[in-house]
Amino acid sequence: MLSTENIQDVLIVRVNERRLDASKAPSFKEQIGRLIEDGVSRSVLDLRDVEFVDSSGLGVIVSCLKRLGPAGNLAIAGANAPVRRLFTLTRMDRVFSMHDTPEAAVANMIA
Amino acid sequence: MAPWGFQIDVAGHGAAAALVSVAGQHTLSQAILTRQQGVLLEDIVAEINRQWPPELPYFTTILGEIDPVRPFARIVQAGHPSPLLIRADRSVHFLGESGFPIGVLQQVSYDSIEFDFDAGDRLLIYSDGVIETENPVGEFYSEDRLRALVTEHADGPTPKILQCSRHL
Repeated sequence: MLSTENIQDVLIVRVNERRLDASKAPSFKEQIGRLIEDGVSRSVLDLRDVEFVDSSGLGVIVSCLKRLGPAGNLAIAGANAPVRRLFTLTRMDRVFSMHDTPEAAVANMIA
Repeated sequence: MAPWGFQIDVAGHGAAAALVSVAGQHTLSQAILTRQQGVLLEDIVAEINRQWPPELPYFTTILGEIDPVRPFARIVQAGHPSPLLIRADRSVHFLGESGFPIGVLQQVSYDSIEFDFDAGDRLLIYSDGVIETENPVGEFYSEDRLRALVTEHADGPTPKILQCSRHL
């Protein structure tokens, strides 16, 4: 479900799912939770393969941000138009920095 | 008291979401019924959000009130899709663009949207289930398509509009 790589000490988590919805949210939460417990503080969630996020999926993404703590930083990359719309509708675009690519997100994060 | 109403949608499915839905409806109803004079609708929503237990799923809502005398209406959008205002002249408009859901971040504020709401005007409030419906080839029923469909039937009676929205 998730694949990871490091770019300049930032953990890129790519979600290999077409839909991030109520049926996928529990395993997504568990798997990404395990990554965060490994001491990650700066991460980019790469959503390029994701066509659809529902409220459950969004809830997990928000919970990740909370688990990273006050010093943590979580950015979003590659969100398509409907996913971006969900972020703007719920004002999560003011909470997460949104970028077209993981590289752009990392560049912004370490700038 | 002016007529008021709301629609809520809890994140997730199943028994937990259903129970939270009941809790959310109760909380909103109580907040309106015990509202002190002069307290703004957006401040009621902000207070509910501040007090919403962080361990519960979040929910989205449109909370609205109507002043039939002036006549105008006011809504607060909290993460819920933008409602459609169907004017008596058959024009159709989206109201609002965004707002934080209830129970995601505690220290946030909300805005209210005021609009003329005269005889013959209607407000269509719906959950994201409508615009996230996928057709057999995997296309989502977008806001644009909902608006086009409602515009097409805007001269019809309300049950007709609801009926055609059910057969997306």
